[in-house]
Amino acid sequence: MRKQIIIRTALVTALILIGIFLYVIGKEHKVVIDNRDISIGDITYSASTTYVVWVDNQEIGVIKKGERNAAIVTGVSHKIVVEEIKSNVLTGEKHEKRFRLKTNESATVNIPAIINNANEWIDKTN
Amino acid sequence: MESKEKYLLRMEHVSKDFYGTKVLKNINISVKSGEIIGLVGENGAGKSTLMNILFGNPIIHETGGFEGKIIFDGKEVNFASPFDAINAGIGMVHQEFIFIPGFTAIENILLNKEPTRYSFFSEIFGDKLNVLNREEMKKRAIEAIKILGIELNPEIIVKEMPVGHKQFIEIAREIDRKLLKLLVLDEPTAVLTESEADIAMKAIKKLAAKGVSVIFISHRLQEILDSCDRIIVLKDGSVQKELIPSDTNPREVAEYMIGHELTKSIWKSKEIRKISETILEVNNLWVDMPGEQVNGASFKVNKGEIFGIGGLTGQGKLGIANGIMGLHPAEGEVKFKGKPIFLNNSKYVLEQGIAFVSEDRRGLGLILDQPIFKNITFTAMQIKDMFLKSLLGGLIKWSDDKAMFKITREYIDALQIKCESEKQLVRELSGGNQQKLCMAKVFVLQPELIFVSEPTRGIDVGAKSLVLDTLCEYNRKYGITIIMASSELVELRAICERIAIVDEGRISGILPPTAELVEFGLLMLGIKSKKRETIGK
Amino acid sequence: MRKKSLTKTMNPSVLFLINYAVPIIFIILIAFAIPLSGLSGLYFIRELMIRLSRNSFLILALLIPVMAGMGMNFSIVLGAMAGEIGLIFITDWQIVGISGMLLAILISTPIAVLLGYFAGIVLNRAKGREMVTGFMLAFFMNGIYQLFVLFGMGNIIPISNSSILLPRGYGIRNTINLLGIRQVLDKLIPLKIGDILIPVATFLVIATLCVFITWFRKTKLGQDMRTVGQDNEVARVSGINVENTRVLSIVISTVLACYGQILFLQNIGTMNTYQSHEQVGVFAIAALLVGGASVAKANIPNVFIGVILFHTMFVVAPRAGKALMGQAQLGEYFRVFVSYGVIAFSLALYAWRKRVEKENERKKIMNYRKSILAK
Repeated sequence: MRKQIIIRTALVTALILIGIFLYVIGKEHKVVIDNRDISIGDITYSASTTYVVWVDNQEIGVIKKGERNAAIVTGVSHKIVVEEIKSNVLTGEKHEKRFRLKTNESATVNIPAIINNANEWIDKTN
Repeated sequence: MESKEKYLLRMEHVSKDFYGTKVLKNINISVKSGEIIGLVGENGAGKSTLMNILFGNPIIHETGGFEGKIIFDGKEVNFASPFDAINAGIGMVHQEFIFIPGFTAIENILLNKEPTRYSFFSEIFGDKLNVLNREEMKKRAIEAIKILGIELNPEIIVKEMPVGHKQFIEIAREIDRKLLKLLVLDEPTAVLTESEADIAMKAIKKLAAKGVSVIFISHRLQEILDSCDRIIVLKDGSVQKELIPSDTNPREVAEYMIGHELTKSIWKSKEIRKISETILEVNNLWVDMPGEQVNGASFKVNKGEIFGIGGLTGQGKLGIANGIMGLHPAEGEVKFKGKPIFLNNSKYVLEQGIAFVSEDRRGLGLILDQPIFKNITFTAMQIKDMFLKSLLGGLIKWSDDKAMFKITREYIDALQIKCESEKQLVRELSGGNQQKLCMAKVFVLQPELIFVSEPTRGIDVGAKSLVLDTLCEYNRKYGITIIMASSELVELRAICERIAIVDEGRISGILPPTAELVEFGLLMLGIKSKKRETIGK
Repeated sequence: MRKKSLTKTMNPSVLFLINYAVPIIFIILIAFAIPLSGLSGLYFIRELMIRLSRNSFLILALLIPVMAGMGMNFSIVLGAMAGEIGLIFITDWQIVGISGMLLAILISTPIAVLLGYFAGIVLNRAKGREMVTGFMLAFFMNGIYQLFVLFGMGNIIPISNSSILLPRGYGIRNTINLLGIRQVLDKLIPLKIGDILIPVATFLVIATLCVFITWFRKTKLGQDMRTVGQDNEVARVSGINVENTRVLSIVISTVLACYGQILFLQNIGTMNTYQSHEQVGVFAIAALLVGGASVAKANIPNVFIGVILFHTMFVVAPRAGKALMGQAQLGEYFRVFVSYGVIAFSLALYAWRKRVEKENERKKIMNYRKSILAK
């Protein structure tokens, strides 16, 4: 009888944990991708050209100078890749960044900041 | 002290009353280990109440428990439910089959005590999710069947088994209980052929030889005499006599069971009328009425007589009338005034001039929420188009209230029905007056033959004799033939000219009302006396 | 006289025709409708594949109460509602993909258990009339569900996602887009034969359920349910807790129906908040009956035969209707009409058959008695 209670409690606990786990890995987040000028502290990174953006290996599209786009991502850890386009040709110059999002976070990333390897290239908000 | 030790079961000073009526009075019964006790008694002698007490049937507790004590296996017990009794080692085989027809013999024998095999899910959801161990089940079923000593394929679905084998399933189920110490058998052989009954009795003896005590309830006296170590006769709620089969004979048992009578006869009339013209001839009648089956009854009823049908409950005396009247499926040959009657068609039979006062007054006889006058005239209106005014050449029929009231008034006076008016609802009448109403309803039809079943059941003593007198009066005055089925031998012997006793669905004999009481008893117990059918043939 | 005509029909081949009247009628109808519809074989197979994966689970949910003698469980609608509540939550929380679906299952299971328990208790009070009671219960619970979803959600239960809320700020919209979990299970294990997508994972889930049901029949609880299903009284005197067993069968059925509805909706991809569950019971039951099941007996093959026959009918009926009458809507009328018709017909047939069987059993016993007493 006691064994059964232990097993049942363990099972319910496991199910709740699984539920939380599913919530975390299944949660959608919005990631806004800016190709705009940005000032971080004293430095200003300026958008200068057009980029193609992939988030989690999914092509988001072409973002021209001064424009923004958004991606919907699922789960915790993500990867963003931007590649420069000059005169309608991919230059092959890629920049990759990884980031993690907590359950209720959404994020804004800035391409000029990524290109310049600035520390504050991502801004997470709840 | 030592002798007491030997007893497996002792019931001491057991008494029980239901709402003030004493049904058991100071019963003392002891059963030794391995002993077969035969329990006999008329209906209402207290057999079933006694067994209900032993089993802790909830009905006993609901009606205030019982007095006295029961000592089983050395301990005083008072089982809260039959399951407790079963767990203590008492088993019961019922008269009616208790099994699942769609299951195999194995599944039935091990019903709700199936051995199981561990399954992981039982850790979460409980033992019920263990898997049945089919091999083990089969093994145990075969063991139990082996003890019975019969040929029976345990894999067969019980529905497809020969009917006679079905009873063995239940016995086998009890045998399978490892701790079985006492087995109660309630009419176990009622549906068995003689050879099957023999096998069953042998199996029971084998069981007893292994130390299991058996209480055997049967109305087949010969079986009791053949196989029991001791016979206990119950009468009117007390132990009338304990007998040893080798020292007694059927006649003695029957006498103890039915009682001795002081006056020779209670026959009311001065003489038995000599009537020779047959009005109803029944040949090989089979009726499938649950609990009251008729198995090939044959008899003749003379015109103008009062013919009684008696017998123990469940032997088929009520089935005869219900079958002929088309209330239950029937087969056989019935001739009324020399003309064959179609069975299974109530309206047709009623139209022939045969009417029925049912034992089920409230269910079949009366419409309780209707006034008296409608109840009295309803059947006549349906069958004979009486009390109807025709309009437009019969296209529309109108009930003729005036005529209905008139006839109702007449019968209320004639039968002394106590009521406020003919418009009173039947529900408000007493049992005796309801019974009179049932009879009035039938008399309105002006039948030539009436079946009356249990006319005095559930009504008080004064009303009883009034009802019987009314029957006699209508019989004498209008020459109506009456066939009366009753559990009360007294009333049959008071007014009937001939009395047929039904046993196991057949007429076991026809006696004159002046015959000795024990003769009736012997017929009821399935022992055919040589003097039977002395009259009427 | 009437009784005699009953027993005449006991010729085995006639009996077979009567027992399987519904499937036989369907096969004949389909045989006529397929050529009329002019559908290509490929289209047909694709449709059938979708419908098999979509509906089988829900119909399988009906099997266990049949085993327990409670007939067709109309209260699986309650399970469907529970599943929908789970889906509303995950849509609100924006949990997507397989994990979204699993989370919906996890959330809705306790709700389904509670609803099933409630339904079981109600049905226990209506022994012998389980089906009509279940039917009415479904209507009643639909009211509670509407109250809960239309007024409770956004008021008592916080709903943050405005895309599923009504503009007034509380209550869920009429339609919910389940884009996040749309066909996630169907496409989990991708397999395409020619042009046809095979929902491998879904079929695996269905197969697992079949294995579960087969296994369940062999457990003690399964045996108890069969006993209770055959005879309440015998089960009771042999010590089985009849009420409890019946409730459990309904709970299991309700939970399975809840999963079935989630499976169904992940395939469809949109949810009709207030209507998706309404016809679930009727269609599932009709399909099972078309598969040759009866109120007292239903097995796994009945489920699949039923889905195939019933849904083939619905694939071809609109086209056939159009070809015959020039109207495609006829198909939808036809769907409802046929479903209710099948149920009514099967029930009547079953009652009648039961009477024949009883009469036969009686005859058999009488003949036996005759034979032993004639000696």
